[in-house]
Amino acid sequence: MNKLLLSIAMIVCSIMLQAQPLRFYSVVSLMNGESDFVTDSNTIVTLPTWGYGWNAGGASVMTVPGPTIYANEGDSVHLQMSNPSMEGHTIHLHGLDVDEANDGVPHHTGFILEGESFTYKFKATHAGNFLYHCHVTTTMHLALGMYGKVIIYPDDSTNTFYPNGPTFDQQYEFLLSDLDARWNKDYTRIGSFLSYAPDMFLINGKNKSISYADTSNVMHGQQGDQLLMRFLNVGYRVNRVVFPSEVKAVVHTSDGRVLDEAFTTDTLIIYPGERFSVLAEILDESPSYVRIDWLDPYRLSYLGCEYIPLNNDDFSFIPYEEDNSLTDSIALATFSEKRVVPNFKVYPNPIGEAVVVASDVELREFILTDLSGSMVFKCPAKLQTVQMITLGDLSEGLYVLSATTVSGELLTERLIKL
Amino acid sequence: MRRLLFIGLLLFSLVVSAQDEVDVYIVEGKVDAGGPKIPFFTFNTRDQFDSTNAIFTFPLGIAVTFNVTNLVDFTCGFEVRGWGSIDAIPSNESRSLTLTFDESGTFLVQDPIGDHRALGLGTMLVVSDFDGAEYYGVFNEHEPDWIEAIAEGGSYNRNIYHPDAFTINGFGFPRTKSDARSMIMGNVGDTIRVHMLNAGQMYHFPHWHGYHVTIKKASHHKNYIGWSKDSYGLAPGETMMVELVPDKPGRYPIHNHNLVTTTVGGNYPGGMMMHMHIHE
Ligand SMILES: [Cu+2]
Ligand SMILES: [Cu+2]
Repeated sequence: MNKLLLSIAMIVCSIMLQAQPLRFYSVVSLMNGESDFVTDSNTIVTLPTWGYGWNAGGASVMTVPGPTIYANEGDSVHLQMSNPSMEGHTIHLHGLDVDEANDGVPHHTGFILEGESFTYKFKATHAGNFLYHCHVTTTMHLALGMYGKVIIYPDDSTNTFYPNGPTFDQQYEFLLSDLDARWNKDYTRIGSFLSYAPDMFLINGKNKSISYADTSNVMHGQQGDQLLMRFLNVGYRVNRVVFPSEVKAVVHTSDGRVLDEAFTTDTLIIYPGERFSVLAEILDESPSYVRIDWLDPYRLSYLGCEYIPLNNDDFSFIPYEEDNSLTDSIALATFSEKRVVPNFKVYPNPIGEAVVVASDVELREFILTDLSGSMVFKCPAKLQTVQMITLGDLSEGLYVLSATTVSGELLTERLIKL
Repeated sequence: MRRLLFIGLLLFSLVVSAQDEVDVYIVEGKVDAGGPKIPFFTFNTRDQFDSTNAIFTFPLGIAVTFNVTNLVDFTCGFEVRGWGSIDAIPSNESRSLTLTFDESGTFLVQDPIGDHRALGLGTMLVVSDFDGAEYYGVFNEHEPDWIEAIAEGGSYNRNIYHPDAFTINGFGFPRTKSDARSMIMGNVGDTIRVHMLNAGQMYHFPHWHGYHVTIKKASHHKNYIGWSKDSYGLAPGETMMVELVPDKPGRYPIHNHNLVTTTVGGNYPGGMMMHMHIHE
């Protein structure tokens, strides 16, 4: 139902251009989204998000993930991005092998700044699963929700997923990601990017009961049906997909390329940025589920899981007992990314011509950098727990104030100038 | 001993090419990864500290004698994985090891004692019969608490790992762009080999902008061999050899898609990001 509205709202035109269809899509980048997530204690939290939405002028609404871009192999795609938000953003077309001008990497081709618009152009050369995401301060912008899928069909009139490939009866797209609620809650207080410790594990932007309530995150089929499952990992953690014995899962493509030899498996590891198409034949219609685990990048230890129900309308799952012996024989380990950070406050924020810095540790110097990472200004710290720094007349935008402690630790705070 | 001069000498001086005798020093220093300086240990071909490890390249079929001198104040080892090792070199002593490289490939060189590789003592050795362009990327992360404890004989918790810095060949972006070993320069239609090693303790996930590459060799992810990929995983200690045939010109990054690692001092951009510059 939601999808129908979206497809009406989106601006798509297919013009025959010397037998080479052109598809035009128009999206906006926004920093004012909001999404509901389910916590470990099964309560619902609403968190701010950043992301993309279909361009509906002033009525544009962003979602996480952003709108899915569909095209057929051989199409030319024009993807316009307008940016009404206060920060620069871009679109990187991950895996589509576009030319430099359309690659969305700001240190090569710049930012799409507030009020600007840019049309990314590429040729859909291969059927398959691809991603798009912002490439500005990527560690943060992507984590806050600036991503979506690009799905290229061989030809949308057939039930195949690559030219002359096998056919499917139903198809599902599962975009896997992770989110650190603390980061989304207040992006100005993220501190060091090393602090990323995801506590929400998302399938198409949803988790737990909110995911089961979304019909696109729930599978149905009859014995003998071939279910096409497209898995895309845009998170910073490793996914392990565990198929139930009720299906026979065969992996056919990876990263938008057909594998020379398809292979059957009951477990599939998907690293950050990887994509796979899996054709799963239903052997038994009884209720079952596909389990997706999130694993840390240190010893592939278990962090959490989500379920994709299959003919399972009661949403009954056998709680997964954490078992790390599956992936690693080295002793169990925890990849700890949360570090104890000394108290470091900077206010007011948004900033004026000066800011106050309060810290419970002795500081050595302050460095202010802009969005591109270049230093705007530097000054020594005073021997005071509360001190004022005069910044002068800065231009609008996002800045990072870093302070070095006497023990050599780096403390950072993101600041906005309006 | 006869010393062979090869085209390899035109490359970056720290790529050690085609000599049949190589002096290796285990040295200690500090690297500046943008935040506080981190203690670091490397395999070098000179007796002074250089924050980047030597990368060894040899032609197929050569016999090489490694004269390894340990300049740090504790016992270290030297291993070319799959070929042979010197188990213990006491402080301020030297040991030799002769290996005949009769098979091409990308190999891990490390200090095999305990967690010594986490000190920085992990690098790449390539045996090659390829006459085209070759580039090298050693992915590593740096955990100061481990390094200090291992070097000073203190205790550390193997279960807690919070690396502060992420490098390719010992450099973080943008310094990686002036490292001749990882800054890929080529022309449309060239066949370019890129050797990658994960010298670290955690998984890394290279993502290629602009092009898919064909995975030719992989020491851990053998299922990948023959696949055309733009994103993949490198397990700790894994070596991989991929082939790039650019179909268009452009400047593109190759970076880790665990984007926590493309930072320096907790800020973006930095860390594990190298580049390509392909000409028409
Ligand atoms: Cu952005
Ligand atoms: Cu990407």
